[in-house]
Amino acid sequence: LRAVLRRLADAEDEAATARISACRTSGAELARLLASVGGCEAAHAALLRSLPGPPG
Amino acid sequence: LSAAEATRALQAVLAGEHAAVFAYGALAARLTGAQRDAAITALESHRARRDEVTERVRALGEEPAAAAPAYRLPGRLAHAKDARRLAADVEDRVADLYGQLVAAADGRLRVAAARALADAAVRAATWRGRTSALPGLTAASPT
Repeated sequence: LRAVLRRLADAEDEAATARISACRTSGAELARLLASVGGCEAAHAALLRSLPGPPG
Repeated sequence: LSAAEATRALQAVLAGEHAAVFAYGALAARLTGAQRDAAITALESHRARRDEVTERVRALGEEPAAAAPAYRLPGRLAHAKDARRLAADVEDRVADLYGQLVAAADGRLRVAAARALADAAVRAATWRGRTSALPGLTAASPT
Protein backbone atom coordinates (compact mmCIF):
# COMPACT_ATOMS: atom_id res chain seq x y z
CA LEU A 1 0.00 0.00 0.00
CA ARG A 2 2.84 2.34 0.84
CA ALA A 3 4.33 1.86 -2.63
CA VAL A 4 0.96 2.44 -4.28
CA LEU A 5 0.46 5.67 -2.35
CA ARG A 6 3.93 6.82 -3.32
CA ARG A 7 3.26 6.09 -6.99
CA LEU A 8 -0.03 7.92 -6.86
CA ALA A 9 1.64 10.91 -5.23
CA ASP A 10 4.39 10.91 -7.87
CA ALA A 11 1.78 10.76 -10.63
CA GLU A 12 -0.08 13.71 -9.10
CA ASP A 13 3.15 15.70 -8.88
CA GLU A 14 4.01 14.93 -12.51
CA ALA A 15 0.54 16.00 -13.60
CA ALA A 16 0.85 19.24 -11.59
CA THR A 17 4.21 20.03 -13.20
CA ALA A 18 2.82 19.43 -16.69
CA ARG A 19 -0.25 21.56 -15.99
CA ILE A 20 1.85 24.44 -14.70
CA SER A 21 4.17 24.27 -17.72
CA ALA A 22 1.16 24.36 -20.03
CA CYS A 23 0.15 27.72 -18.52
CA ARG A 24 2.92 29.41 -20.47
CA THR A 25 1.41 28.82 -23.89
CA SER A 26 -2.28 29.07 -23.02
CA GLY A 27 -4.69 31.97 -23.12
CA ALA A 28 -5.11 33.99 -19.93
CA GLU A 29 -8.24 32.33 -18.54
CA LEU A 30 -7.22 28.83 -19.57
CA ALA A 31 -3.83 29.43 -17.95
CA ARG A 32 -5.55 30.36 -14.68
CA LEU A 33 -7.68 27.23 -14.83
CA LEU A 34 -4.63 25.07 -15.58
CA ALA A 35 -2.74 26.63 -12.67
CA SER A 36 -5.68 25.88 -10.40
CA VAL A 37 -5.89 22.26 -11.54
CA GLY A 38 -2.13 21.99 -11.08
CA GLY A 39 -2.58 23.32 -7.55
CA CYS A 40 -5.21 20.63 -6.86
CA GLU A 41 -2.89 17.92 -8.13
CA ALA A 42 0.03 19.20 -6.07
CA ALA A 43 -2.23 19.27 -2.99
CA HIS A 44 -3.39 15.70 -3.68
CA ALA A 45 0.24 14.61 -3.85
CA ALA A 46 1.03 16.28 -0.51
CA LEU A 47 -1.96 14.67 1.20
CA LEU A 48 -1.18 11.25 -0.26
CA ARG A 49 2.37 11.52 1.13
CA SER A 50 0.98 12.44 4.54
CA LEU A 51 -1.21 9.34 4.78
CA PRO A 52 0.01 6.75 7.28
CA GLY A 53 1.17 3.52 5.75
CA PRO A 54 -0.18 0.12 6.79
CA PRO A 55 0.74 -1.01 10.31
CA GLY A 56 3.74 -3.18 10.73
CA LEU B 1 -3.97 41.93 -20.77
CA SER B 2 -1.76 45.01 -20.53
CA ALA B 3 1.52 45.50 -18.70
CA ALA B 4 -0.33 47.84 -16.36
CA GLU B 5 -2.74 45.04 -15.42
CA ALA B 6 0.12 42.63 -14.80
CA THR B 7 1.78 45.25 -12.59
CA ARG B 8 -1.45 45.79 -10.66
CA ALA B 9 -1.82 42.05 -10.13
CA LEU B 10 1.82 41.85 -9.02
CA GLN B 11 1.28 44.65 -6.49
CA ALA B 12 -1.84 42.86 -5.20
CA VAL B 13 0.21 39.69 -4.75
CA LEU B 14 2.82 41.70 -2.85
CA ALA B 15 0.16 43.12 -0.53
CA GLY B 16 -1.12 39.58 0.03
CA GLU B 17 2.35 38.29 0.83
CA HIS B 18 2.84 41.11 3.37
CA ALA B 19 -0.43 40.08 5.02
CA ALA B 20 0.54 36.39 4.97
CA VAL B 21 3.88 37.12 6.65
CA PHE B 22 2.07 39.05 9.39
CA ALA B 23 -0.56 36.33 9.85
CA TYR B 24 1.97 33.51 10.11
CA GLY B 25 3.98 35.49 12.65
CA ALA B 26 0.88 35.64 14.82
CA LEU B 27 0.01 32.00 14.13
CA ALA B 28 3.47 30.70 14.99
CA ALA B 29 3.10 32.30 18.41
CA ARG B 30 -0.15 30.44 19.02
CA LEU B 31 0.72 26.99 17.73
CA THR B 32 2.97 24.37 19.25
CA GLY B 33 5.06 21.42 18.13
CA ALA B 34 4.93 20.29 14.51
CA GLN B 35 2.21 22.81 13.68
CA ARG B 36 4.36 25.65 14.95
CA ASP B 37 7.22 24.32 12.81
CA ALA B 38 4.86 24.23 9.81
CA ALA B 39 3.79 27.82 10.49
CA ILE B 40 7.41 28.95 10.66
CA THR B 41 8.24 27.13 7.42
CA ALA B 42 5.24 28.80 5.75
CA LEU B 43 6.31 32.16 7.17
CA GLU B 44 9.75 31.73 5.61
CA SER B 45 8.24 30.73 2.27
CA HIS B 46 6.00 33.80 2.23
CA ARG B 47 8.92 36.05 3.20
CA ALA B 48 10.95 34.66 0.30
CA ARG B 49 8.06 35.17 -2.13
CA ARG B 50 7.46 38.67 -0.77
CA ASP B 51 11.09 39.57 -1.43
CA GLU B 52 11.00 38.00 -4.90
CA VAL B 53 7.83 39.90 -5.84
CA THR B 54 9.27 43.13 -4.43
CA GLU B 55 12.24 42.76 -6.77
CA ARG B 56 9.97 42.05 -9.72
CA VAL B 57 7.96 45.22 -9.01
CA ARG B 58 11.16 47.27 -8.71
CA ALA B 59 12.43 45.79 -11.98
CA LEU B 60 9.30 47.19 -13.63
CA GLY B 61 10.24 50.66 -12.36
CA GLU B 62 7.40 50.76 -9.85
CA GLU B 63 7.38 51.44 -6.12
CA PRO B 64 6.57 48.17 -4.32
CA ALA B 65 3.42 48.13 -2.18
CA ALA B 66 4.34 48.65 1.46
CA ALA B 67 3.21 46.44 4.32
CA ALA B 68 0.53 47.82 6.60
CA PRO B 69 1.64 48.53 10.17
CA ALA B 70 -0.72 45.77 11.34
CA TYR B 71 -3.49 43.55 10.01
CA ARG B 72 -6.76 42.63 11.64
CA LEU B 73 -6.91 38.95 12.54
CA PRO B 74 -10.28 37.28 12.96
CA GLY B 75 -11.17 36.56 16.58
CA ARG B 76 -8.76 35.65 19.35
CA LEU B 77 -7.37 32.44 17.82
CA ALA B 78 -7.85 30.85 21.22
CA HIS B 79 -7.61 27.29 19.93
CA ALA B 80 -5.20 25.53 17.58
CA LYS B 81 -8.08 24.71 15.22
CA ASP B 82 -8.82 28.44 14.87
CA ALA B 83 -5.19 29.04 14.01
CA ARG B 84 -5.19 26.22 11.45
CA ARG B 85 -8.38 27.57 9.88
CA LEU B 86 -6.86 31.03 9.60
CA ALA B 87 -3.69 29.60 8.05
CA ALA B 88 -5.78 27.77 5.43
CA ASP B 89 -7.80 30.93 4.73
CA VAL B 90 -4.60 32.96 4.32
CA GLU B 91 -3.37 30.42 1.77
CA ASP B 92 -6.70 30.50 -0.09
CA ARG B 93 -6.41 34.28 -0.37
CA VAL B 94 -2.80 34.08 -1.54
CA ALA B 95 -3.74 31.41 -4.11
CA ASP B 96 -6.47 33.70 -5.46
CA LEU B 97 -4.03 36.58 -5.85
CA TYR B 98 -1.57 34.37 -7.71
CA GLY B 99 -4.44 33.08 -9.84
CA GLN B 100 -5.20 36.64 -10.90
CA LEU B 101 -1.51 37.16 -11.66
CA VAL B 102 -1.46 34.02 -13.82
CA ALA B 103 -4.25 35.53 -15.92
CA ALA B 104 -2.64 38.98 -16.06
CA ALA B 105 0.97 37.97 -16.77
CA ASP B 106 2.72 35.94 -19.42
CA GLY B 107 5.96 34.03 -19.94
CA ARG B 108 8.16 33.32 -16.96
CA LEU B 109 6.16 35.50 -14.58
CA ARG B 110 3.01 33.53 -15.37
CA VAL B 111 4.72 30.20 -14.71
CA ALA B 112 6.23 31.54 -11.47
CA ALA B 113 2.76 32.68 -10.40
CA ALA B 114 1.29 29.26 -11.21
CA ARG B 115 3.99 27.59 -9.09
CA ALA B 116 3.24 29.95 -6.21
CA LEU B 117 -0.49 29.18 -6.55
CA ALA B 118 0.27 25.46 -6.30
CA ASP B 119 2.46 26.01 -3.22
CA ALA B 120 -0.36 27.92 -1.53
CA ALA B 121 -2.85 25.18 -2.46
CA VAL B 122 -0.55 22.55 -0.92
CA ARG B 123 -0.24 24.52 2.32
CA ALA B 124 -4.02 25.15 2.47
CA ALA B 125 -4.71 21.44 1.99
CA THR B 126 -2.13 20.50 4.60
CA TRP B 127 -3.69 22.85 7.17
CA ARG B 128 -7.21 21.59 6.42
CA GLY B 129 -6.37 17.95 5.88
CA ARG B 130 -8.32 18.03 2.62
CA THR B 131 -8.09 19.73 -0.75
CA SER B 132 -10.26 22.55 -2.02
CA ALA B 133 -11.89 22.45 -5.44
CA LEU B 134 -10.04 24.69 -7.87
CA PRO B 135 -7.79 26.80 -5.63
CA GLY B 136 -6.99 30.25 -6.96
CA LEU B 137 -10.22 30.60 -8.88
CA THR B 138 -12.45 32.22 -6.27
CA ALA B 139 -11.83 35.85 -7.13
CA ALA B 140 -12.79 37.39 -10.48
CA SER B 141 -10.03 37.83 -13.03
CA PRO B 142 -8.74 41.30 -13.84
CA THR B 143 -10.48 42.49 -17.01
